Amino acid sequence: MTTLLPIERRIRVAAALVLVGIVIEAVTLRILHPLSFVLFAALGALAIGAGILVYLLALLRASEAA
Amino acid sequence: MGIELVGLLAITAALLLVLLLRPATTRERGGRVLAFLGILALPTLAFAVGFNAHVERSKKREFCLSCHIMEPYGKSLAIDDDEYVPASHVQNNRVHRDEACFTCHTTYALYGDIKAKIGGLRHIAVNYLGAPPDTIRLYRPYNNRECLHCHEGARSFESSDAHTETDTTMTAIKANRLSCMSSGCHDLVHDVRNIGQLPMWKGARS
Repeated sequence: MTTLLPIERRIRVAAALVLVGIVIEAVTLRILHPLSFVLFAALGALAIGAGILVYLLALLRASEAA
Repeated sequence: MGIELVGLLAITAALLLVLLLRPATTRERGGRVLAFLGILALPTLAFAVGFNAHVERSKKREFCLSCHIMEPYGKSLAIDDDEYVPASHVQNNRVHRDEACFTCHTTYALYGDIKAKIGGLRHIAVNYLGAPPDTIRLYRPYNNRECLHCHEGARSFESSDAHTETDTTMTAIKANRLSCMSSGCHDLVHDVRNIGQLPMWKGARS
């Protein structure tokens, strides 16, 4: 098993968070109800936003380390 | 949900799964491009497209009536009496049946759709976090602008005897000084209090 570099661990976390957001988006788009919109706009946006932030921080940390 | 959005979500999820299971792929240039696409570019696009899809779906009548409190208003669209404004509009296809609520309750002004959606969020907050009032009232008196958006210029509207009764009537209507829903004019609207006693059109779609 390959040992992961710190940036790769962060990318994995970022991918997991964004994937959660994408799943929330897919599920809420199947349900026609006001709460599904709220869920999408709150949790979906939060998960995708957090994932992107982790990814950008990972790139920043990697460039600093280099 | 359109096929394009399904495809976009599927591709994004597939790329994310690859990154989740094999993060070491980012050691290669191709893997780094994949990470950029899968974590940043495609999810941003998917969110924007998904947000737009949600907003479009929120214009549906089914969406508005999915809250229990709105059920009587949905039923009022089937009242078998042409004097009832919402019912006659829906039954005679004067508004798009699937978007009947939104068509009349949006604001036909700049940012009207956005304001309507913000109002919708307020409804959700009151419905789930507060106590909905026994009688639901509009935040502001209904503006003639919403009626005139379709009716202004129409022969039936412009040449109506009631609308041209005096020299100033039409001007007052168009300036929103005389409400279309004034007593004795088009004042029969949803009438949810008496919905149980009113005749219903059998041909109405549920």
